[in-house]
Amino acid sequence: MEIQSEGKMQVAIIPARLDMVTSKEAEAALAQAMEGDGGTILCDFSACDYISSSGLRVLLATAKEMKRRGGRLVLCGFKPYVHDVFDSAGFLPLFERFDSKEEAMTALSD
Amino acid sequence: MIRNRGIAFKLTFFILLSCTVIFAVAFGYSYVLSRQILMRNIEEIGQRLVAATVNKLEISLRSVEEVPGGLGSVLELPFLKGEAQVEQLLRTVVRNNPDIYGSAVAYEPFAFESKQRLFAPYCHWQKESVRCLQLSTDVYDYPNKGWYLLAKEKGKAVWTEPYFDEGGGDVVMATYAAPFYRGTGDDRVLMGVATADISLTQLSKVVSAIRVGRTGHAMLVSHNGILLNYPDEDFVLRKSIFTVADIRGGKAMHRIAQQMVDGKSGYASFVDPNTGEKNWIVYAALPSTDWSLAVLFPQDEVMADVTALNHHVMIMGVVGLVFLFIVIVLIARSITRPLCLLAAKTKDVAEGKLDFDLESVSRTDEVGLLSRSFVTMSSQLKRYIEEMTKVAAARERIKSELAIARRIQMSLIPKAFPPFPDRPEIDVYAVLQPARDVGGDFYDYFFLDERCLCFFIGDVSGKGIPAALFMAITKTLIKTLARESSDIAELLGRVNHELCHGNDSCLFVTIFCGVLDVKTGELTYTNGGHLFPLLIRKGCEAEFVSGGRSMALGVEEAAVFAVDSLQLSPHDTLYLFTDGVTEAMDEAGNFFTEDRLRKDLSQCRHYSLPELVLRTLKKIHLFARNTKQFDDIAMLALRSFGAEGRGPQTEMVGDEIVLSNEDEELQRLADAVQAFGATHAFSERMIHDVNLSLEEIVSNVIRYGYEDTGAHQIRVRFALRDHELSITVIDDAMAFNPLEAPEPDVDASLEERKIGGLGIFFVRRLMDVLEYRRDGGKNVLTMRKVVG
Repeated sequence: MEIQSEGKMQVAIIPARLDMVTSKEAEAALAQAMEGDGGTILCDFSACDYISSSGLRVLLATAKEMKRRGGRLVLCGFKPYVHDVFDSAGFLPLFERFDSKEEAMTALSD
Repeated sequence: MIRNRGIAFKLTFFILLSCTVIFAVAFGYSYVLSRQILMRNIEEIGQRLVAATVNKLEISLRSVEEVPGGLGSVLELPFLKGEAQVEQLLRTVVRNNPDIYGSAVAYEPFAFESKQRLFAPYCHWQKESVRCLQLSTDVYDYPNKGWYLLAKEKGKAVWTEPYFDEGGGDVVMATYAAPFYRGTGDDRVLMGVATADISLTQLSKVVSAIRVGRTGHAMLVSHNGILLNYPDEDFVLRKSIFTVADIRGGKAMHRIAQQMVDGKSGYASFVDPNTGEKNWIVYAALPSTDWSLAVLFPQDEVMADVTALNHHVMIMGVVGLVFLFIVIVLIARSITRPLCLLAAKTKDVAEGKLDFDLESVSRTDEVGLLSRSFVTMSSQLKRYIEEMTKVAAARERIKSELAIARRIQMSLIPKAFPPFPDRPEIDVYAVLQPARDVGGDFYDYFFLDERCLCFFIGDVSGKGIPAALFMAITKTLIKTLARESSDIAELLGRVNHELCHGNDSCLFVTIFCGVLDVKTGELTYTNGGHLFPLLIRKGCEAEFVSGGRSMALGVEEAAVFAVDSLQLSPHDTLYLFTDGVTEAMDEAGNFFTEDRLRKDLSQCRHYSLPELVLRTLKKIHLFARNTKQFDDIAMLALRSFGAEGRGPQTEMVGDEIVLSNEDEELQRLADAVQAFGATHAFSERMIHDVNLSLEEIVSNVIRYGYEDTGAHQIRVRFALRDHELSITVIDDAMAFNPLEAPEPDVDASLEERKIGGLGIFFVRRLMDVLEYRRDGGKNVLTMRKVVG
């Protein structure tokens, strides 16, 4: 999974399919992006059509760890299926979320 | 770093360090003090030695000094006449004074006899006898000798510098010379000089006898600094103390030499520039002669004893420390060895090995105490674990008994659809979605003969094993007694009668039971306390079937059951259900209600039976979303086609994919779902839901299902008919019933949120019906979902 540095933010480009196999890669990449305290990681879901419980597990663990370090994990660009999976798992209230990456960047750079 | 070392090392290190410091301080103090004491003693002894020797020499010299005076006073008297008498006197004096070497009386020219110019008899010791001779020879011109001139000039008794008396005594000697006179007062006339000699050889014996250490020695110095006695004979009379200073002592020694010549006494040290050795010197003057006596000794020699003593103490100290080291190491090991052993055992205990022996238990010290506590702790732990295991096993047994009861109960319910593929007159479809605990809903259908289909749906009051058993009995009774009974009322009456017998647990069961003549569509039914089913006539709204409601079975032995009947036309549908449907609750606590069911069914009346039932189930799920299912949900639908039949049956299509237990197989599975979905025109949403459900199930199996690491097969079958997609996953992993998995708490906060169970939760949500069974060592999970 690709992680880009944009300003003070780390932007993770979530792949089209975040299943058990790709979640492992995502977990490793996010762990690397998390080094140090504080900071913000933005997960861009605009290319993602599919997420399973493995993917949710990685996001939950990352969000917990970021919170512990005084940083935050922000999500953006949900497509309908991804939104529904988050919704049915009761995950929507747990994450800070924006409709698009641009919106997230604007809001977070303030 | 010391911090990271073991107790044994620290103990040894610090104790040894402390002991070494203590020893070094004590040793150093004792060394310095003993040196000081010794130095003081040596100074004292040296001074005492010098004083004693000076005293001894003085006595000798004094006794010599008395002689010339005595002689002079005798010779001043006019008694002595002639040479023989004077010589006789001398001989007697010498013989009576063993300290003197010789004595002479030397007259002034012509003083003894007017015609005799010189007269000087001299007597001295030669071996054991006294020899006398005349000094007035041509060779020995005594009036010009030093000793004579000195006494004559000074007019009083004086000591001469030591000299070799050639032609006289023929030895190195010092002479005490005293003038004697005739007459008194101003008239007195010098008659001559009387002398007494002392042999330096004799004095040397006294001085040479002094020995200090190995090379320490004494030396006698004249008041001019000439050496009168020295270990090296060549120096005697030839060299002065200053020469010695030049050779042996440098400037410091020079100062000492000067002090000696000046007749001072003292104690000083100097360093020999040749050897670097420190030497000590004690010196004192001889008052009578102005000579000086010195005792000179090297420090090392007198310190030899102290040095040797210190060496011994040092060796003893080192040996002591080595001994201490060994003792500490042994003690430390005796402490740490059981501790290390204990640490190892602790690790064992942590790994669950609770049986062990500890030698250190028998010790009476703190280590023994710790060991005993440890053993006690372990045995308590063991007992506790055993109890816990027992409790857990008991709980597990109950749980598994419930699960078995559940499985038996579910296995009694027919689930193969369509059940009568060779009967075109009728379609039957049913679902039973159990609540978490063992519930009591059931249904069944069977042909009594060629034309009559008997069907029923029921609900046993209560839950748990008794309810399951009661249900099994009821179902078996109906099936057994159906063929023997003439009508349906008689059937339920007999079943009721049997159930009332020995019904100690006061359970009861509500049943709606019907018999349909599939050819004519004639339906007779009786309702034992159950909900009335809905009837959906072709092209009409759904309506509740009416009729008499009899009492539930198992309550009253004499209960009578009313029979009603109605006529089914082709394509009419009868929809039976239990109260789990109408009493499904949403988050606000509202029931699903019979009316909502009626309306929903009315909308979907043109659907195939599987579609109708599964859609209804989905609606109930959507309604009850996020609330726990309290009761079993059972629905049974019949569609009658009459004698003309339903027409050509829809073909069933299927597919199968075999996966190995590797993560990478998931992509292949996803591709297969995509392909199957595309072929049968599934919506994107449908494909997504199937994909997600299958990934959750299969990944669960791959990840947690196998205890070994070997290769396993996971079989996934797709079957599609009448808009009903049925997916069956078959694997040989360890038994796992997803329906019994705990529900996740989807309302927990981020910190409290657990991820477990979410996958299965998705599957239950996305699929309409889940059925699980363990069959021949394999998990068989069937998921049904209506396509649309």
